[in-house]
Amino acid sequence: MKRMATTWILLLCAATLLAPTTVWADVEEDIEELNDRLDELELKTAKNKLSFFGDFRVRYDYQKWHVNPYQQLMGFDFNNVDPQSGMPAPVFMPVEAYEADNSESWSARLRLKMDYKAGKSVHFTGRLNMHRQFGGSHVPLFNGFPNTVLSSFNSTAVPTDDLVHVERAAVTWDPQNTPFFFTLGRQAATGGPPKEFRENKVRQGTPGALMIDAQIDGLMAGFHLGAIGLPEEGIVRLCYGTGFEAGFGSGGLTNQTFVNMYFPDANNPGQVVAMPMPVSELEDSKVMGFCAETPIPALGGDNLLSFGGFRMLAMTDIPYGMTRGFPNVLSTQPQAVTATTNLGDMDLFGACWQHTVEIGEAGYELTYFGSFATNKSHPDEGTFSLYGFGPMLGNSSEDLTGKAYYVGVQGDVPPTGGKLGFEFNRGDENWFAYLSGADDVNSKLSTRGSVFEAYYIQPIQKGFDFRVGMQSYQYDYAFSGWHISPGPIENFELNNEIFSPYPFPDTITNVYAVMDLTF
Amino acid sequence: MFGRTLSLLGLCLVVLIAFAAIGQRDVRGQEPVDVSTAIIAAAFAGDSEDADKPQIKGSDKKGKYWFKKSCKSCHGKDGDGGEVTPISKTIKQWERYFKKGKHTGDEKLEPTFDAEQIIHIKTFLINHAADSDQPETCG
Repeated sequence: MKRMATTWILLLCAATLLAPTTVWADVEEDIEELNDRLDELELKTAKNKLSFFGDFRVRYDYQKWHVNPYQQLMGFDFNNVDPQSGMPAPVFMPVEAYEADNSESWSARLRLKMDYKAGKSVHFTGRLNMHRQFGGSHVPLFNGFPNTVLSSFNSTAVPTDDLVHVERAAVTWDPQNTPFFFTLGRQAATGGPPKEFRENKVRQGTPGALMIDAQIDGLMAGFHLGAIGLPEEGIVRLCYGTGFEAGFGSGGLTNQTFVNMYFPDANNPGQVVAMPMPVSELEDSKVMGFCAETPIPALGGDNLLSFGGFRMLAMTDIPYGMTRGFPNVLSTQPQAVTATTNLGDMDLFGACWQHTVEIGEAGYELTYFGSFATNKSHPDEGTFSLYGFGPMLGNSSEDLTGKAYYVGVQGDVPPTGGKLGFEFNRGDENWFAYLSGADDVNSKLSTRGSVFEAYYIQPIQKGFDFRVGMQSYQYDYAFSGWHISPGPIENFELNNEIFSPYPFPDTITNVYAVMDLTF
Repeated sequence: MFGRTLSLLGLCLVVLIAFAAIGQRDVRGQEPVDVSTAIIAAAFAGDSEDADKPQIKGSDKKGKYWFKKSCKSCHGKDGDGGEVTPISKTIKQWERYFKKGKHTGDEKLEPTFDAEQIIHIKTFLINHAADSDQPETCG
């Protein structure tokens, strides 16, 4: 018995002595396992050169148009040809006022944002978009609005098919210890300030939303204003981009190329007559300008003053793009359109002030903004679009000036945690800005008239929200969004019975609902 | 008989504890509410993580102000403490940092900043963390 007890005591002592060793072995094992996992992670991180972020949006739209009485172009009388121009006389038919609606239209937009840091001073950013119209309407039907011509400026803004387009792809070189930086590629030129508020996003682009909202390729040189004692967030950027590459000569093998223009024959309804029209020697179209921005710390809150100026050189009449029902109005097939003429230059200047302030002890936020812009045409005398859309701003012998403003307010709704916003914008008859990539149903900021918008954003959780809103468009003139017009814009005042190939609405009501997930 | 009653009571107790635990997790320390109220409240309350936050609403702007004023002197580009910006950490890493509440070593954040300042700075850093939605501009 005694011997047995002794054995037990010895065993217990041995176990006690061995215990720390066992625990230590466990810890070593754990560390080893952690090391393995860390190695795996490090390897994955090293290989994972590209970071992906993005968002996904599903949007519902209801639209109602009201069209004032107008004279519809029915075709051309080929028995009545003007001996001087050789053009057949147009034939019109009066159309009574009417209303039309699209009770249900759905679209889905997937944006994949890419980011790659090649080193301390070089990084790449890109954004791939799929913007799909539910129901397979792959090429928009031309209805007189610029966003119904699908071009490289708006390929990700206009909902079409399920193809992924490259909206942005640019390399930025930011040399260390200098205030300069440079970006080359497809730039972040869509969704600029103050558009982010109603989108409930962080800022999405550089130029002001009232001036440029289009996908643009080019290069940019930037300078940090902090280097000269101004606020460190302040930046000045010089931009240079290409709007149209003419290729060699006129884009063909010779300097004189003919394109078929289709004229509906008024004497033979349902028939079109193709007339070859000479395309003059085209020049490249370029854009150059600057964007400057700085906060004003003395005014408190979160604020930003941004302004810019651009000159669009040798603007063409229409971008290369795809549409339906134009220029051959009787064809249901997708048709390509392309530039036919350089019309002249256009200047664009604008400024935007945006300010978010906190209200009360609870820190609820109120944002307000105001933006103003002006454009001035410098047409080349005697130039006009061969598509029948006339000269720059409808007048090739006179410089014309247009202007527009855009104001808005957005505030927290404490009981629900949501945000309520109101916006208003107005443009005059000569107003034009480069907004073909705006993703509103009707590019509201290019309206020659006024637009009121009210919306409510309900966050459900971080990065996931619902938005409902209403836009009320009141058009004063036709051809909003275009820098071309078949004649003096005064002739296209919608209160009068205009002569037009398309029914331009005088009012549009757009009710929308959006689900947006940011990831 | 007594044993059966005891078992039943025990079962009820377990169910109650389970519901209490679920309720605790759902409403996160708030006053107990019924399930329908919780669902409606959750639907209209925005981010469910908001319930985690203290009474003071963190302000991005105030956080930026305090961060620049108090942190940048040591954590600026050439600062002695090494450069620190919101993108120095991910959202989760900032959350863990503030949960520990320690600056360096055992030095706590609290004496350097008051509780309100910490809430604002945390909001700013988390809102602009490496994996947060970042503004997109030319360059």
